[in-house]
Amino acid sequence: MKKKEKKYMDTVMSFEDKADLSVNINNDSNQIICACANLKLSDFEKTLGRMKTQSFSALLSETKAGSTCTACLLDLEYFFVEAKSRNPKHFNSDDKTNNLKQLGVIPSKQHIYKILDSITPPIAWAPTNFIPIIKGDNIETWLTITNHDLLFRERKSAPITSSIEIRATDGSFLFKDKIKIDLGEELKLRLDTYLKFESHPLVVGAAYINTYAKFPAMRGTIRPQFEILAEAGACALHAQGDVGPGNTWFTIQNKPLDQRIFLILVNTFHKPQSAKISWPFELYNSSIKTKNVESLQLSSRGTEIFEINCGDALTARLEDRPFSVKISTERSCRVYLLCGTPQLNRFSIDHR
Amino acid sequence: MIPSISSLPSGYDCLVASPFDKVCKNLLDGNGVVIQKISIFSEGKCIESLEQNHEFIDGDLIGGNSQPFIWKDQLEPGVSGYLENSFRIEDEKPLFRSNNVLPFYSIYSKPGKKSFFSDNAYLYASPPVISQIAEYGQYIDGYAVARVDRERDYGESIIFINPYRKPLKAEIITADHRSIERIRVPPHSSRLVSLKALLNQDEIRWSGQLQITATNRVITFSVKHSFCDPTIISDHEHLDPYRGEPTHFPATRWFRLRLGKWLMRRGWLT
Repeated sequence: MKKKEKKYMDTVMSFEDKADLSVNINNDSNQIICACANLKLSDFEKTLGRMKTQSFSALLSETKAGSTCTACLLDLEYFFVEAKSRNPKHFNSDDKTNNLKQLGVIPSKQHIYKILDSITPPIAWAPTNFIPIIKGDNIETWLTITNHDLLFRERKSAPITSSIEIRATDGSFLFKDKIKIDLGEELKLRLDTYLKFESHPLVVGAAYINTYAKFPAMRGTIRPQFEILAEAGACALHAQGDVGPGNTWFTIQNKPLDQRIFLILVNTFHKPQSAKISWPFELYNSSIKTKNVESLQLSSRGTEIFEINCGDALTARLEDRPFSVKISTERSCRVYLLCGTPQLNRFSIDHR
Repeated sequence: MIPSISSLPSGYDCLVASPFDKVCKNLLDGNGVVIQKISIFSEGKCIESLEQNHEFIDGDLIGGNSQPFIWKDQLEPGVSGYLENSFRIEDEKPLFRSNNVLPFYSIYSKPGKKSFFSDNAYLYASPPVISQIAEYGQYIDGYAVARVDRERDYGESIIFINPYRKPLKAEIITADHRSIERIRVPPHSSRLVSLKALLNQDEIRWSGQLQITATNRVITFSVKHSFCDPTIISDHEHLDPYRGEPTHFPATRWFRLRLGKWLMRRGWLT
């Protein structure tokens, strides 16, 4: 073992020894799982079976476990979920799916799936993740993918290959590459340099990322993340998978002196589509009936940015009351909320 | 339903607009009296608590939505707290379809400052944490995009929220072997730990993967702020626990998932 690695493992082990971080998941039915309530695993499971509850908190109330020092809550969560997965029929719900389960309809379907799944070979599951790219004066967008085992001593990650596509506002293709990331390695790639800078204060595009593990393993830390680095501050967010068409809602406040709010729409569909943006929808005791409605045309796999501008009259009526913005899309589309300072030198970005 | 936790960093008001449409959809037949309880904790004490009844009949909230909850920043400078938000049915009747936390954003604002948004965290029974514990029997949180830079005024802190009754000890360790040790978070308290301690004295910048481990479950958020003035916050995000989900699926399951995605993209499956 290399000297550096040994020092690292020593740090990990000494902390773990001190803190006793591991959870005992040997399911010995006589083991005490909550010392404060003197509760055995077998009693916990009996109560769970008797209550037939889906509510973890109801179970805690009944058994009094996990409510004194709370140190065992994490173990209790594990035992709760494990017991439910072992015997799902015990847990009632009045919904249709469970009624079908009780009639034995779904179990037979699941039984067939289980047999098929047990004989077919494993295939890497790598759904596309999306990242918006923002370019502007002194604004950088960076992609980060890490492949670390963190403090887990037993290696369960695998080397990965990330396939990265960068597309411009109009959906045109700018860059494509496959990058290998071995265990313990990190990928950092600046994305905004591929976009052309135009007169608009912000230019947008998108990155499409698929990550394949070399052999069956755990996902670990491989979820792609991105950062927007601006002149006076940074922000970051993880990448997301696809979503279907429909309405996306954001609740915001109109504060034109302190911030500018933008929507970024990434058309993840292979055909053009139009999106409708409407606001304000007041949350409480709505007094403003007139809505601003704007249509936005999105190219196939294109990305657009739209600023929510309330104007002076609406600003005066809204004051600082929160209101919602509705974004309606016809096809799959990722929508982000970008909140920047008036000078566009600091941002935060969020998604639905 | 499982209560959720929102962070209350010092220097900002917090607006919580609870998603009553989602609460209603979670009722089995759209009927029931839901009791919402919001409690604010700081430094081991519950400093404010509010309980409201919301009656739903045939999918409609009677009397319309109530006003959003607004926490006006009133803690001592540098002292943070957290908000616990829970929904339960009157008389504990089993009327909810699911006990999952309803995700919503809180809006953080202050006159003269840009707002930021942040989502809520599970008080307990978080699905990624459960799958991590099931797979590894160990709880470790992580974050891949931590960054501190004296020159560009990029500061970052980790918020540790301990909503439980037992004090906890935590440690931040980076993938390149830096660490911040002996982080103590008393019960029902929140602590902001600046990552500038990861920089050596003459070092200008650092970025990389960090990992957090603790003696008990801890709720964490990353806050990106000015290096010189941590009260100017740009962004507030949840971290990413090590994922215990598989990278591969059996071919037949893979095909079902692909088909589901294909249908979902066209709006034929929700």
